[in-house]
Amino acid sequence: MNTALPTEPFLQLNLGPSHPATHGTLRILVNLEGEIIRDMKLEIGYLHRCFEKMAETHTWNQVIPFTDRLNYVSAMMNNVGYVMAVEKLLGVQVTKRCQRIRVIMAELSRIIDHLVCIGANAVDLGALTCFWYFFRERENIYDLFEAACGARLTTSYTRVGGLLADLPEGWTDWCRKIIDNLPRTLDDVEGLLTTNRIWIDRTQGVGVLSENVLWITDSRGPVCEPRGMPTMCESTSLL
Amino acid sequence: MPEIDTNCVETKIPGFLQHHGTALVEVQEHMGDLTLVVQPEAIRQLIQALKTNFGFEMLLDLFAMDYEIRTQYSGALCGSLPTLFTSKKRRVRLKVFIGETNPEIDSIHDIYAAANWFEREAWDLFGITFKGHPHLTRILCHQEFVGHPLRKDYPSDGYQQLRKAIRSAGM
Repeated sequence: MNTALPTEPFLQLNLGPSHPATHGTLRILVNLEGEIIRDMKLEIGYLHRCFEKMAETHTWNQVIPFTDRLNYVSAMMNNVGYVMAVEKLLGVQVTKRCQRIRVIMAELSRIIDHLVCIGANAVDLGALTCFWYFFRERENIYDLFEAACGARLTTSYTRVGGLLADLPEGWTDWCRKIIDNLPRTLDDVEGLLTTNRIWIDRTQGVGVLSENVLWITDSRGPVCEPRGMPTMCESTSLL
Repeated sequence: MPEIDTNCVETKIPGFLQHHGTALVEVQEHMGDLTLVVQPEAIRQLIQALKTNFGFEMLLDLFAMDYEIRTQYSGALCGSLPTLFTSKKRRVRLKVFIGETNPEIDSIHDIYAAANWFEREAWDLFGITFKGHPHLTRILCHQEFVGHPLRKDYPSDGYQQLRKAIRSAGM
């Protein structure tokens, strides 16, 4: 933005940029009136490492490890997205089994992504317990990743036209067991958060996006769900 | 004007060619993806029409490419590729070829608000000027950064030492 925020009669405060090990390095310049944010400007470039430029000097397969680092929680999903794009350029069709394993990995990533998102959100509002409950599940899923590809965070599991390796023996039963346990943890956190006075006070009616804003900014996904607008999941298919 | 295979356009966007066929340079279809190469001066009019008359209500992405190898479009280098999307599971990608020196194209931020940041990104990384954009400033690179890193003529080891703290006024 070219112009500074008007400072009067607001308190101007810099939130961040904070350390990269936090939820993401972002600088927010806010105008505060008491506890209420009246206006803000964003500086989003801190996490930009220009992987696209690095990809120019590497081969197609050498780019896969870069995609691990695009989002450290859903490395698997970024692996899948990248190799699917390359396969589309090549006109290659992968086997049904490979497609299914990729879907399972992407879904597990999506689950841990949501666990971290909700857990960290609660931590920021002062509720640490939920985070540990969710982290236990997240660790279990990382065990599954480790068994499949040898790495927990930076997986590099996919290859153009396939995967690094097939699933090890007993993996599917192990995975089922972990997934079966998940609802219990969700119930635990639901009990802690959903009717929690502090959680409700700090989230309900905060940062509400009007339907008009959602349409003109082309927003899709969970933010639109409560408003009955089409979500990406309904309107397109990933694989 | 090259030969245009119109079947895939009519299947995906019925009635489009009847009104806007003259703005097309080429139609590309690959693995079910429809790409319309259009004339730069027609971009705003086409995007407006796709939004209001053909139900493409959402802008998924807008980005640029630097084609090092240029064949049929002599002198053309950078293109802006808005991808539009409908709730009826239809996707179309528009491609525009613009010149290497002082590349510029009309902004579409007032048609799709989501284009605002995408256009800033394309300016930051490729140096494409979007005419009519309200504040075309760098969005990812530091304000001191010189050049546009994703252009092929920018060296891959072109590191720059940046010292100044970001001014709050420059955000």
